[in-house]
Amino acid sequence: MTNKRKSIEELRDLGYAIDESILGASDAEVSEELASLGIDPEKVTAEMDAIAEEAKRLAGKSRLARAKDAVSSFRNPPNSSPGDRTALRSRLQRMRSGRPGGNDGLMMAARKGKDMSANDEEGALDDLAQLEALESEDPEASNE
Amino acid sequence: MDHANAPLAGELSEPESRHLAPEEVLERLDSLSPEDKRRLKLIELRRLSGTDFQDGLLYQEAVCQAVLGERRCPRETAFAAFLAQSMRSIASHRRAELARQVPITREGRFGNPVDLPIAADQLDPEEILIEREAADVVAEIYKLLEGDDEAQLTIIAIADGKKGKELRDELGIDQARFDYIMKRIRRAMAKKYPKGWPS
Repeated sequence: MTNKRKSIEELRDLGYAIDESILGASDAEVSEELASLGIDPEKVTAEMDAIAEEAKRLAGKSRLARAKDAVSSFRNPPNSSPGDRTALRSRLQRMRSGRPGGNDGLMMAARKGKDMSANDEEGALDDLAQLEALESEDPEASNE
Repeated sequence: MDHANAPLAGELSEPESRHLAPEEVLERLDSLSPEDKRRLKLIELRRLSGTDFQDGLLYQEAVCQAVLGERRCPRETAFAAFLAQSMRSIASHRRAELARQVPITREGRFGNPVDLPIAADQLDPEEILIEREAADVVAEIYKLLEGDDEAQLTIIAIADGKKGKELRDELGIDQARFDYIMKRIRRAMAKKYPKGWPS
């Protein structure tokens, strides 16, 4: 055998070739090989079905857990640090003044030109923090 | 279909339309034939060695990852071949993880642990260990087929990276003959490595 290839590559290719030959083998050969390993070919189908059903159940459970995590992290964003809060406050100011790069006074329009209360401002900062967190998870979102 | 040349499963960067959608994965799973399930069982058994997966759990993991979309099946790939490749990949990753937990020592002449000599600019220790084990297995497989020149030549050609038509042309045989040789190789392997080889 050539020395140019690593043994791990040779073994990997042998493994591929054997898997390939199993996928292309006749039903009789496969049953015979299972039997030679002490496995009843007739029982294999039901066992594999049961395993697949369990896999589907576990996948559903995992998907649900991920969805719960996503909802939870959306509802409870990590607390922003005082430094972050200051940066958010200046971004909010820019947005309210309608300066270039801000949101062009949209929020002021929504408030009919009135100033925000302290509570409103804190809420807006929370919203901005969530927005920035989402943008950092999805870089494309910030370009839209 | 030549499964060996099929695209690798789980390439996440390709457009969605090139892969089965989640509901299609479930359909393909439910419509696997009893024969394909037996084939996948044989392949799973061959991939257990060197992992800590119990019988059935490697297949379960492959199905789970397919259903969750963690590994995606290219449309042009047969679903059974995709599951076979997923099992192969999952087992390989698991072996590598376990290898990282193995201390890089061997037993000395008097039973004392001796550090394996490893040069700093070479492969990392786990790779050296895996490569050494692989070399032993390749040599053992070749030896197992002693007396069957055709099978030994086939092993050499496969280990040399040949596949499909190129492989058959090099051996000067047709597909039917190749299938028959591979059957003999599988039988010999099943005796020595009923759960595949450890690397």
